[in-house]
Amino acid sequence: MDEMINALTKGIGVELYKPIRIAYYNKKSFLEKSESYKQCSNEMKLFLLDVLALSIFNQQVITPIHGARNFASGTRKYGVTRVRMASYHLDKEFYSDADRITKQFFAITKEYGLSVEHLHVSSINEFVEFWLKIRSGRDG
Amino acid sequence: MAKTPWKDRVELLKAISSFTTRNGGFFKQNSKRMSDLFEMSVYNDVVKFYRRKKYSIQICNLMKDGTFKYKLSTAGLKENFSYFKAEKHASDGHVESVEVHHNVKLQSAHDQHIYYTADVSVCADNSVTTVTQKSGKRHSYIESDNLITFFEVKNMNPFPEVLIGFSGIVLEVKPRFIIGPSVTIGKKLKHLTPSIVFSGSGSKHAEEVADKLSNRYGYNVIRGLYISKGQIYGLDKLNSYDG
Repeated sequence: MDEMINALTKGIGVELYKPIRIAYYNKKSFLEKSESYKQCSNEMKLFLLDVLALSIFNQQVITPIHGARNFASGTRKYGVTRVRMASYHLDKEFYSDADRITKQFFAITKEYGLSVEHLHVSSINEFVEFWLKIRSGRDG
Repeated sequence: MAKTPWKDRVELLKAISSFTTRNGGFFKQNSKRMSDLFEMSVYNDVVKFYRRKKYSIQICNLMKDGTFKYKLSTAGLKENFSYFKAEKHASDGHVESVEVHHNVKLQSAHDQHIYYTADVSVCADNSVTTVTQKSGKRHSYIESDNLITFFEVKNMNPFPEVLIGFSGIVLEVKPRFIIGPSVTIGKKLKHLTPSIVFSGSGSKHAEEVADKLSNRYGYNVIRGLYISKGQIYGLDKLNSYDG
């Protein structure tokens, strides 16, 4: 059931691994209490858990990386070449990696029919209702 | 037609595994600074707000090689970090000038020895003061009268407790917005009102709380930045005031 969160958090470092997994299992526990979720097929339950994991990863990792890119593109015109954060530098290599990573992530999710505006969980009930509606629309 | 995860889950899992394996080093290296990276986007948007209002932007304390010294914590003196200055010459010759800082202490409007550190703050030109405290340590802060606006940035979804808590922060550093409506709020005015910015969006109830508090006090609750890749869209539609 938890293959997606395992795939997303394998080898990403404990500082990211822990909060992402805590958020996932916390929301999963609410999901499992949801009556709508309980009535879903196993296939749909798997799908909801996958989207839950991808949404948490998007918010906690991909959105901040975009943030750094926004700062770089906004300040380049004023002569900023890199940003020093204590002893660490956000330089050309960082921005190139950040660019590639965010593009790769959205290319994967887009290919599987998940657009960025849907990679989010505001409340568990709204999340389940939304995807059940989409699913019934596609199946109907 | 796009594949859907429930039809092709194995392939999706493979693609994600390969993605994290290839980029694991980058994630590990930057794992401790995700919230800082998100804050950078809002810092940039605040500067963008003034740029769009035809202010000329310059960076103070930028190193010769173009390195921007980013203030990561509440400690540290203004002199040692980079920040933005925005200037506009009015037709009557008057010059309007503000500074945009990151992680600088704001003095309480009620007690000169209480400070709160906002993620991003806007103040009058040359109004960050550095003084030596009784302990002998020096610190930099913005005096209450010189603070124009500030931004609190949260890489999370909004929820009622944090929204109501923000009203308390505004009451402490910009009480004019809370006590007696002595500020004229509008759109497209000189400065954005104090704002709390979320990467996520809230449940129906949280959204309702956000709208009601925002209408009542005039501050902005900006949310859902995950959709816009971390950028604040519609700056002109946000609550603003003339300072």
